[in-house]
Amino acid sequence: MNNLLKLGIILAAFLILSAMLAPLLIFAHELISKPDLISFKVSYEQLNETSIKLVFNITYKGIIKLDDVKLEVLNKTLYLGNMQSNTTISKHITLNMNSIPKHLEILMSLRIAGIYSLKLRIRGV
Amino acid sequence: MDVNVGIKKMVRSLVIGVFMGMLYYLVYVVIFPTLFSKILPNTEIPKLPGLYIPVFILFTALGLANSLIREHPISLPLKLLSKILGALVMLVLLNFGIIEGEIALNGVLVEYNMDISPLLYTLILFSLLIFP
Repeated sequence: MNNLLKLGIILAAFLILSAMLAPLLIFAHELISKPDLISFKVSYEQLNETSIKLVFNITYKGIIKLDDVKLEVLNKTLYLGNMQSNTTISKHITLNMNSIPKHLEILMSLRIAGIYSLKLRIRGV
Repeated sequence: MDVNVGIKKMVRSLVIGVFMGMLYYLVYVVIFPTLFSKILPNTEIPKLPGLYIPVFILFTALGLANSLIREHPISLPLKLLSKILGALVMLVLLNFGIIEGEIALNGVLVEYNMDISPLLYTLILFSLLIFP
């Protein structure tokens, strides 16, 4: 009985760890092999003399689902939600012309398969 | 005759104790961290030479003590201590599951910070349950 219990725990450990490791390995592999896994485009549109609209287009081409995708730009947070394979999400923020630095710094945070938190800091956009 | 049996038993306990200590060291300090550094990109195990020898000695001592007094109730907390120590060393070697680095995405150098601690804690939980 004791051996049977141990065998059961080993089997459960193998299954649970495999299920947890698989999305991480697939995502890590895609991150290395696909340079355009998460592509990022920033465009702007001048609204008037003092305001500017920054448009962010984020395209994800991976297999693993990304949860709670968020962007932080100039102390403003944009919630993009969940991203499936081959999805493009477009969001915009309106900023004062004077508050825009020459090079933007964007912090992207997400959860890989809803388990692992990942933060990407993109400088010089 | 009894003395011979006693010595044999003692030597057996010593060998088992040292072996168990080495097994814990191998699994938590060598195998698990190396596996993680191999399967995840751009991760390296920090070089902590000051940590390896004391940890090895501590594991061996705990294994030895555990084996010599295995009939005594105190051997149970000692066994648990070995496992917790192993888990702690592994967490320190893997920066508590936080992996940091830089990767080129779309031609732009991007800093990343990934938290794989849920996987580490699950692995530790099962290793606590499975290991002898």
